[in-house]
Amino acid sequence: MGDLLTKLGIDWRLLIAQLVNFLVLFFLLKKLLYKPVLGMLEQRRATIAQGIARAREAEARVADLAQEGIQLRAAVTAERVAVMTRAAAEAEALRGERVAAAEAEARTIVTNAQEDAERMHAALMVTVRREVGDLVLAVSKKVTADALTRDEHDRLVAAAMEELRHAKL
Amino acid sequence: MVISLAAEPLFHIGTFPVTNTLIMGVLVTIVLLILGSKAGKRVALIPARGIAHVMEATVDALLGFMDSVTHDRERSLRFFPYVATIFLFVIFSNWIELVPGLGTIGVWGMHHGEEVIIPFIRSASADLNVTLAIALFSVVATQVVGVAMVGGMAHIGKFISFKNPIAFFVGILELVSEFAKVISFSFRLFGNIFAGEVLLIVVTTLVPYVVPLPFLLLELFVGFIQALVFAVLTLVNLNMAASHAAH
Repeated sequence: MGDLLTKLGIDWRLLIAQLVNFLVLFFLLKKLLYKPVLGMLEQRRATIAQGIARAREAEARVADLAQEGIQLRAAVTAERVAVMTRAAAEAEALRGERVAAAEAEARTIVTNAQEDAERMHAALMVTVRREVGDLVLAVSKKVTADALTRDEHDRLVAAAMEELRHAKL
Repeated sequence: MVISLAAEPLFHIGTFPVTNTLIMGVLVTIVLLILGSKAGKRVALIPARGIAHVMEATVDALLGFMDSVTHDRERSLRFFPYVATIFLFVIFSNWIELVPGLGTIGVWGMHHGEEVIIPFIRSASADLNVTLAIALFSVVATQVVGVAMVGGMAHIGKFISFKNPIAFFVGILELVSEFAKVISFSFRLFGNIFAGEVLLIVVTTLVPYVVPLPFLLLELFVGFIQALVFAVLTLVNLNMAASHAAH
C-alpha cells in the first residue's frame, strides 16, 4: 500500500500543503471576490428589478393620464356643447324678450300717436266749429242785419251752431 | 523526455520536497488572488471594463449555471464559493500547462538514473496530492453544508439508519460512496490531465511543429470539461446533502 502511494506520488506532507494552499485560496477569494461581486450582482439585480417596476408603474401612470386626458377632453367638449346650447337658448329667449318689448313699445307709440292724433283732431274740430260759427255769424250778420230782429238773429245763430256741433267734418 | 506519475521535486526545504506542482499550485493561487482582489475592488453597480468585467461575467455565468441545477438562488449563493473556487483553481491549473515553451524551463535533475530537465511547469492537476486535496475539500464541504442545512442528526441519519435492514444497508452504501467520491474525483481529474500532459509530451517529441496544435486545442477543451465536471459534481453533492431532509 505504502509502495503504491509512493509510486503514485502521494505524500501526506504535500497533500496537507496543497490542502492548505487551496483553503487559503478558498477563504481569500470568498472575502476578496465572491462577497463583493455577489453583493453587487444582487444589488444590481434589485436595482434592475426596481427600475423595471418603476418603468411599469410609469407606463401605467402614462396610460392612466392618457385615459384621464381623453375623459377630460370628452368632459370639456360636453361642457362646451352644453354652454353653447345654453347660450343659444338664452340668446333666443333674450331675443324673444327684446322683440316682445319692442313690439309692445311700438304698439304703445302707435297707440299714443293715435290718441294724440284724435286729440288734435278733436281740438281742431272745436277750433273749426268756432271759426265756422264766427264766420257764419259774421256772414249772417251782414245778410240779416236789416231783415231780422236781434232775437231772431240770435235764434238762427244758435240753431246754426247747434247744427255745426252735430255736423261731422 | 520525463514522464513520471509523481510530481518532480525541484528542491528540498529540510526534508520537505518542493515539487513543481506545489509551485504551480501556489502560483495559481497567487494569480487568482491578484485577479480576484482587483476584480473585487473594481466591482461597481455599472459594470466596469477589463479584468473586473471578465471576472464579474464569469461569476454571473457560473451563478446562472448553478441556478439551473439548484433551482434556488439562495442555495446557489450559499454553494457558490465552494463550486467557484474548485472551478477556477482547476481550470487555471489545467490550462497553465498549455502555455507553449514553459515545459522546457526547469532545473537539471536526476530521473531514473538520467540527468534531465525537470520543468517548473507541471499542471497542478497532474499531481494526485492536488486532486486528492481538492476532492477531500469537496467531500468535507458537502458534509459541512449537509450538517448546516439539514441538521447534524438528520445528516448522520443518512449514513446510519436502524429503521429497517434496507435503510441500514443503503446507509452503509452511502458511507462507502462518500469515500469512493474522494477516489473518483481525484483519479478522474488526475488521469485526464496527466494523460493529456503525456500525450502532449509524446506528440511534441515526435513532431514538434503544427501537429501538436490540434492536441493543444483538445487539451484546452479537456481542461475546461474536467474543471466543469469537478465543479458540477461538487454542486450536485452539495445540493443533495442540503435536500436530503426533504426526501
